Amino acid sequence: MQKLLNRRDFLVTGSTGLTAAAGASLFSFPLSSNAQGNRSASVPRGTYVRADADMDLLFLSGTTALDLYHLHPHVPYEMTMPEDIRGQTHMCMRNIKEILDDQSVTWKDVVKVNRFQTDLSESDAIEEVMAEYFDFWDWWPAMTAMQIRNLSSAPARLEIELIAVIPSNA
Amino acid sequence: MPIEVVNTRNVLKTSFAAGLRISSDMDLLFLSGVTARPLDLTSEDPFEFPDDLDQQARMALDNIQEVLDEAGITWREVIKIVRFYTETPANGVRAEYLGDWNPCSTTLGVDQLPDAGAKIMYDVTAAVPRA
Repeated sequence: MQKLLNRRDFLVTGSTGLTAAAGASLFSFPLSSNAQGNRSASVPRGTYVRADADMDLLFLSGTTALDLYHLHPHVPYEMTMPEDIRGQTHMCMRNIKEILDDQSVTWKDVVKVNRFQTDLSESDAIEEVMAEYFDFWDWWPAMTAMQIRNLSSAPARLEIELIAVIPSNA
Repeated sequence: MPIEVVNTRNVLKTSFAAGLRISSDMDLLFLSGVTARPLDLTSEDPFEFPDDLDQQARMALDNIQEVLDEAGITWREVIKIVRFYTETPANGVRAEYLGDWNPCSTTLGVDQLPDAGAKIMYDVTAAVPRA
């Protein structure tokens, strides 16, 4: 299992330099201006992904910046997260990465992402953070973003759910 | 195991699965959004939604039960539930149907549902063992 990072690091450092503080060099690259990667020129943002029928599917619950495992009904002392949308996005993505890692799945195996946001004007910031995980959009899954009124906890501004595929012999 | 619960840590049981792995030999069953409106009514037929949220939730879950029965599966094969609500729901009603089975879940507050008077809508995905 991956080394678990201390969630508190995100709360005290904010979004700039937080990855270095958390010891995760993987996420510390600057956003590349050459983010086009090897995307198809005809479909520059890869609006569809086709997966083979013999793949297993990995469904994930929607995750916010809350710790992946929390009590239900929600308890106030667990409802702590940064206000900053970049910090929240990092925490969402780390929750997802914990599950992907557990199943030995990479971001390139993610076929569909649904983003639920309380404010669509934060999309650019969210996608900049997500780019660090998706290899600067070297891989662009089918993705839908929508603005909704409420997420499962008051401070949450972003919830991400996704589907990944796994070769069934893995 | 055709539906494998992904638990990345040894933690106490939560009320939803962080992840579920569905083996490729299962069919998928997608349901349209289901509210309390009975399935044999069209969207034009007059229908009075009850005011009580829990009652609406039970009626909607009864509707889903009908579809699951028709497909020959149980709640244990339901892999994903997205709840859209205009009034914050409690988890209790769901457990009456799901028992100790916890599929992947997402809960979202929305401004409006397609049916005036509807306070909760479920979007359900199930995995069906191939016969």
